[in-house]
Amino acid sequence: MYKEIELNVNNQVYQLRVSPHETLLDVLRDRLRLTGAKRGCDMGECGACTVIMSGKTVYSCLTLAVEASGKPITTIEGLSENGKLHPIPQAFIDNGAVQCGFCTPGMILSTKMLLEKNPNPTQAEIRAGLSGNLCRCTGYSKIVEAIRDAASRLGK
Amino acid sequence: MSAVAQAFLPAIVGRQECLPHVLVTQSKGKIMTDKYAVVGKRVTRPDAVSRVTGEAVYAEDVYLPGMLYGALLRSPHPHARILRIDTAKAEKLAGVKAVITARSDIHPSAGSVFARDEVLYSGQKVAAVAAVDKYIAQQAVNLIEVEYEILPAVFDVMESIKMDAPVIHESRHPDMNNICSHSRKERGDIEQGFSQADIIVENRFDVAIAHQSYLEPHACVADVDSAGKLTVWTTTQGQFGVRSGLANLLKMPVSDVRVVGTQVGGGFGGKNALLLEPTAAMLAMATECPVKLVMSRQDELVDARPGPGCVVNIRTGALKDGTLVALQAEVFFDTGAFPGATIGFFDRTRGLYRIPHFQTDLYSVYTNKMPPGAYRAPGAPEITFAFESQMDIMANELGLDPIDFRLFNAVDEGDLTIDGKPYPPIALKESLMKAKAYVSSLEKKTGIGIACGKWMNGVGTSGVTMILNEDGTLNMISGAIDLTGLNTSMAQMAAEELGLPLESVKVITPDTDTAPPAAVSGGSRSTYGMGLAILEAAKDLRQQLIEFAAEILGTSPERLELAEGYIRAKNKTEMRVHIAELARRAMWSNRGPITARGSASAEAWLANAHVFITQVAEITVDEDTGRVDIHKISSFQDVGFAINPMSVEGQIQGGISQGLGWGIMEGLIFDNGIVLNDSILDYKIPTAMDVPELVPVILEVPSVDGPYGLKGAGEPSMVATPAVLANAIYNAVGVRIKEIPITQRKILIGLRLRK
Repeated sequence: MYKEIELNVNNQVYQLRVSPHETLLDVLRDRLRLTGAKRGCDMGECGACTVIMSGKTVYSCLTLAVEASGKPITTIEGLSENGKLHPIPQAFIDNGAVQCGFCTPGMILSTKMLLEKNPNPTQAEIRAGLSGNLCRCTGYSKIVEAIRDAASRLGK
Repeated sequence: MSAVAQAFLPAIVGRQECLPHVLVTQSKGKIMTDKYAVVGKRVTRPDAVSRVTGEAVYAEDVYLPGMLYGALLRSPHPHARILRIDTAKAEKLAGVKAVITARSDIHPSAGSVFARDEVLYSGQKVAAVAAVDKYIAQQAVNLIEVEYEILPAVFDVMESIKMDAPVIHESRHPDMNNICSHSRKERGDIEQGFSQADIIVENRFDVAIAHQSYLEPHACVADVDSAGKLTVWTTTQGQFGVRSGLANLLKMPVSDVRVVGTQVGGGFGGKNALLLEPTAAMLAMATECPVKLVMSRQDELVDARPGPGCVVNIRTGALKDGTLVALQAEVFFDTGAFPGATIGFFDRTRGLYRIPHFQTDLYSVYTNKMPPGAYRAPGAPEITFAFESQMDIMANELGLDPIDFRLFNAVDEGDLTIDGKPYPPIALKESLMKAKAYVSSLEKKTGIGIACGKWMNGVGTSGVTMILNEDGTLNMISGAIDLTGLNTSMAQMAAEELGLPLESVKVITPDTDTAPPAAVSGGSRSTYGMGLAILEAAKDLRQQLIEFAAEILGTSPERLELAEGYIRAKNKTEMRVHIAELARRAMWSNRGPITARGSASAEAWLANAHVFITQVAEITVDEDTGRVDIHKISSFQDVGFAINPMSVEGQIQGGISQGLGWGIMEGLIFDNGIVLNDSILDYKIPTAMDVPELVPVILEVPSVDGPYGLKGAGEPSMVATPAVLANAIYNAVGVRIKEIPITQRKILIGLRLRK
């Protein structure tokens, strides 16, 4: 039993035949080879698989591919354009917020949505905004600094 | 502040380029930072770009043509005899390419290979399947039938050492069962020590098993070519260790095994050793196809190599004035079903106080649980939790301030290490004094915890090859895995030594076929050991450049020096030749390309580099619920010399955060050998909401032999954190919890009992 779907990822439309049980994460990684979405827990806890779908962050490991059909999706690969890094990843680099890098794509996409909703968040709002994305390397300090920095870069 | 520290106060000003809240002080040091152009500066990581764009290739991101997917069958029982394995149904499932079980020529002496006749822990590998997709592979695993005869099992170390406990392996102790290893350290006469003591305090502390919880689960891909050469892409902290492990186990020549260390999504010691690789290799051999194996988070929690739990019995004696006179301790580490708990390095983590009479016995004890591995400063957070809680209890009994009590007994240069060698210059007193000054500046006087810690870094097999390109840029080839910034620090050191701009140095990490051998990136050794190799290679390269330039310039090498990108005459700078010019000419002349090699190692593994640390935690405890709110943790840590202060701060903050997890949140919970909290939902690690402001205060007392005086900075920050939280909780509400993790429930019970 298969379903025909149309995935719109980073402004590119893909026509696919998928099994109903395949998750968006499986399809992004195993079929489209967009491996920037990471599999950390496969059960919607760690946030490493975060992508943006219809303007909201979702755990792609908890989203079935069939649900994602027709909806605009942004993955980390689609964030930077024309060879220039987006200000958020640049702020992550400049503030030493990237260690192993495994949580980083999800963190950056969550940051993007956080700052779109709240362009000037307090430290507490940043921490609350990140609470769905686990990081084991940084103790979050430099990620929080990076997000403050990104907010000010985007505000300019 | 000591006179020595004060004498070097101007150096503090020299390092104000650091973040305002990060105070970098340089004390007792001979090194002045402005001496250097590249090292000691905050630099961003060039390789971070690939990690923010999704380009970086982690092991699960490796896809090969015709690749199959593997799945594992694990034992549901903690101890059982395997009577029969029937794989027929699994083999018949469409899409299944191979079902494998234990090989008769591979002894099941570790958890990385299949159990053969007996399973010794729940979660142990019994069989594996390779199939065309992961769903079929999992379905096939469910079709394998295994008949077990359940055997008696033992899970608690104190039960396991009893002579009537079920025997897991032969004991290495005449009077205790299931002892895997034993290490004793002693000095003086312990009985005499206690006979002098005015007070004697005795306690037992318990530590739960904690998982490193790197975000990336173990994953690997194995492939065998038609000539029999095995290639394994894997997430590992040490690709050469994986290579020797596989060659040994599979009885292959080392040259027939190629390991490609991919990007690593966090290791913290948990990716030091073989885990999935042998199974993936055997599946690839059985199917003649590439095979990918990926662990689920559940697999991680039931059969990775977590930090071992332990029981610590400790007895200490002191005089009324606070002088410590005797210490006796027994530590029983839970090594699960196979050797894995590190116990041999007591010198590495203790020796903070002058104690004339001590006797310590460290044991690792078999139980029917998963074998542990290394977790960031293996053994140290556990032992430090017990010993530094004990120090607080002693201070309280003696009516002394916990910082003053520690300062009074603290070791300094010339005092003896646990192994009886004199300490080189060290920073324990300085870190305590800085912490004391900080604590006295605080308005709030309760909920303040203090704890000290110690760690020593390794050296380890290290090697680099430098190739000077024709435009004057440098390729530096290294076999060490860059976990979180090693390559950047290495590039800084090479650039410094050769007078190159940082962007001219590219560090390349090829596979084990091409790179010079390097030890595991663990034990806080990498920047230290690789740095020594870089210094050696750079010295050679510099000399080659000078000699070649002397030929060209028609002068003697003694008159030349390397400066500002040129080889130039020491006295008159107009006589000079650019190193790019030298590289180019060498490449197309009889001279040949300019390359150099450097290597380093240490037979004893450990460097003579003693990192001391004092941490301060500021917390409040809700007396009605037992909830702990952590406001801030400050870490006064000696790093010898910070090659890249931004990276060092990140290491310190990350370590504190993991120590916080183990201290108050994390621990595997077992029911008769079965892990109950086998998901990340139930095994909770700190989120951004749980971790407070973390303040690294970098102290720099140079090591004797390290490059630029650096000391390993990766692990030590974690060492003192569980203890500092225990001490802060006591300071806040008078409840002493002797068991980590110190969960809210334990505190609540303590509060109720107190009333």
